[in-house]
Amino acid sequence: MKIAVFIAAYNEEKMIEHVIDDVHTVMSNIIVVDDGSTDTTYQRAEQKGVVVLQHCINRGKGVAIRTATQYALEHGVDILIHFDADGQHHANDIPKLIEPILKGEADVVLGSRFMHPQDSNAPFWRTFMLKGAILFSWIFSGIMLSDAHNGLRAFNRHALKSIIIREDGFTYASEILDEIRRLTLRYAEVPVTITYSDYSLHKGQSSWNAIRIAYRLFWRTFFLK
Amino acid sequence: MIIQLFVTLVCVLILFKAFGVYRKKEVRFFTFFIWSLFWILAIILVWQPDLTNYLARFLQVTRGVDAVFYLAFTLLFYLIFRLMVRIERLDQEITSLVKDLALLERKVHDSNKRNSL
Repeated sequence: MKIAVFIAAYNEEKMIEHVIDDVHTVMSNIIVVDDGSTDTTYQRAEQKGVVVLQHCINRGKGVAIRTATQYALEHGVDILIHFDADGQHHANDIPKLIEPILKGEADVVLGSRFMHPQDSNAPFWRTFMLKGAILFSWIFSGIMLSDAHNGLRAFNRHALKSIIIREDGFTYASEILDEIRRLTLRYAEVPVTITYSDYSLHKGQSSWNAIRIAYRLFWRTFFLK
Repeated sequence: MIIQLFVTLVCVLILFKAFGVYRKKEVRFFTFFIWSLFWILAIILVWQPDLTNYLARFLQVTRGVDAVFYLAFTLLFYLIFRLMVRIERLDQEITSLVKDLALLERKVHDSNKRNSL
C-alpha cells in the first residue's frame, strides 16, 4: 500500500526542512507543493530529495491540494495525508491518523485537537474562534466535529478520487466536509497534537480571515452551487 | 447649463475611449455599439430632459429623472454582478492553468528519474 504525505508550502523557508525531516521519520513518500513562494522554499524542499511541485504564482491551499491529489492519484497513492508546513503538526500523529483507513473503518480521517484538549496549547482567543468555526461548519455542512479544520487529515484512494474541491483559498476545508456529506463517505476523528508557536500563529489563519471565509462560504452556497 | 456641458464632455470623452479600444480590437463591435448607444442616449437626455417624462409615465414614476436613476441603478448592479461572475470564471481558469503547468513540469522532471514517488 502506497502512503504519501502532502505538504503545502508558501514562503516556508524557515520551517520546510525541519517539517520534511520530521515527516521522514515515519513516511518516505512526501509531496511538497510550493504555492508560488517568493523565498527559497522550493530549493530547500528540492534539496531534501522529496517530490516538489511548483505553482508559478500563489493560488491558495485549495489549489495546492488539487495539484497534490492529482499527482498522487496518477502515481498510485492509496492514502494521502495532509500535513502543514508551519511546524504545528507532529509526524508521530500520522500512524494514528491512517489507522482507521488501514482497518477499513473510514474513508477520511480528521485530526482533532479537542479530543484531548490537554495536548493543545491553543491560546484562549483562538480556541474561542475555533468553537465558533465548529458551529459554523456544522450549520453549513451538517457534520458536527469536535474540531474545525486543523489541516491534519488522511484520505483513502476512494475519497481522493471522489472529493471535488473547487475553492482556491482556505474555504476548501469546509468544502471537504460538504463533500464528505454529499458522497456519504465514512469519516472518523482521531486525537492529534497541535503545537502553536509564534511562527505558526503568525503564518496561520488570522481570526479576521474567518469573516472572509464566511463571506466565501455564503457566495459559494448561494451563487456558485 | 454648466452641468449639461460637463456631462456632455464626459460622455464624449468616454465615446472616444470606447472607439479607441474598439480600433485596437480590444472589444467586439457589439460591445462598442451598445456602449456608444448608451452614452449617446445620455447626451440626448442631458439636453432634452423632458424626454425622460415619457419613460416616467411608462414606468408610472412621478418624475423623469427618478425613472432614469432607477434604471441606472438596476443596470449598474446587474453589470457588477456580471463582472463578479466573470472574474470568478477567469480566476478558475487561471487556477486550472497553474495546476496543470505544475503537474506538467513535474512530469518532465520525473521523466529524468529524479525524486519520483
